[in-house]
Amino acid sequence: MNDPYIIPDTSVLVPASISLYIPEFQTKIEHEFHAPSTPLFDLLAERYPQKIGCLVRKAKTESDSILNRTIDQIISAHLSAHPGLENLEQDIFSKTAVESKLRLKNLTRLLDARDLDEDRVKANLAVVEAMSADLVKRRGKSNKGDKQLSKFRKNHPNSCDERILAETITLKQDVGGGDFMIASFDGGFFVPRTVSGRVFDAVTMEIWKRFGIFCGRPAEVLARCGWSQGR
Amino acid sequence: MQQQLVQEITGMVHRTRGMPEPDPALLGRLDKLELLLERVRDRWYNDPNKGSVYFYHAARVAWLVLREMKAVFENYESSTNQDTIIKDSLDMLPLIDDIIKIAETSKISEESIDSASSKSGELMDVVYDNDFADVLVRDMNSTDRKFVGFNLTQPVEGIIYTPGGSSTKDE
Repeated sequence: MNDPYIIPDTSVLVPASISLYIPEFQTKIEHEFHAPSTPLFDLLAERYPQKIGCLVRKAKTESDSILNRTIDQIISAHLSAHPGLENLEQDIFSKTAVESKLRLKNLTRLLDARDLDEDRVKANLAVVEAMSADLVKRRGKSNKGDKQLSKFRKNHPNSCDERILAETITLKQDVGGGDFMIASFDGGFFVPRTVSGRVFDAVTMEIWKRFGIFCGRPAEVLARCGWSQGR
Repeated sequence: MQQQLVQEITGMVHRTRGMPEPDPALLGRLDKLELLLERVRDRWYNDPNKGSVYFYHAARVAWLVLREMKAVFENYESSTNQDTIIKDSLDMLPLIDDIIKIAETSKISEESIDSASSKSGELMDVVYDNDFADVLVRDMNSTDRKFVGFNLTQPVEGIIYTPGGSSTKDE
């Protein structure tokens, strides 16, 4: 296959940025999706000259916006589970925030960020919103009990993910097609949701059918490209 | 008082452009601003309320950057990139000013947390993109962990914590 275009969304960029061991406090702060995110970026670094990693603006601004709050959530829960560290909350937060911000900057530098025509992004956003409206209204036996669809409906309207998809569609049009893939952990929009061993993918499949964009977790994106992890 | 101080410093940095040495009063003013930032930073460090970490972090980053700026101006005469020092300082001073305003006057709220977080992020963006980036890298290295660049899968010992209630987690 030709080199694909891989777009990490916020749910991959942020976890990939958060991992810090602080020896003086003997503690490690890490997002639960950090480890499954990093092989993708190792590969994007390795293939940097081919520019297969792409950055859409909404994924960047949203990542910048939620990074500190995500760190705060992780640390708050960490401190609840490890009594005795409460007095160090400020130090741990600030050190983690500095490192995570720099990691995020480094990760986004691996990605090709192109300027997109805002009018065309808005036109594509209208198309994406129409898809969302159709999915919300969708009935029928095959969709009954689809856990991805139920989460999608619960979150609707999901303006951030819709905008990321619209920017990706615009990018795909700009480069004249190709294999476009969104790497995500967002089970309510981009990637299939697994519940009790069953996979639900009504939304993911609709994105594929309408726009020809594959959405999957980083490992699934790597597998689809024929690249295994831990090479 | 703080706004006037930052304005004075900005004027002095402007006047230093093209000169062999900084404005004579500049280092003294930077000292004053550093003390002010230390006071603001320490106030938030000792604040036990939820959300204080964002203001502490913003004030701490501003303090780290200002301390570095002062060190750079102390060696300004012998520096070979004086124009860059002036430009970088003028890029960063308005953000430091914004952070002090937010951290000095704000009560903790969702809105003020977003402001503090956004301004500290903007300052780090500017720092990262210019010659002051070392100050943040040094801060990270103070944790005795080398910044590993693109090799992000290097194993590190320790406790891995996973946040609860993640909206992206599969059931």
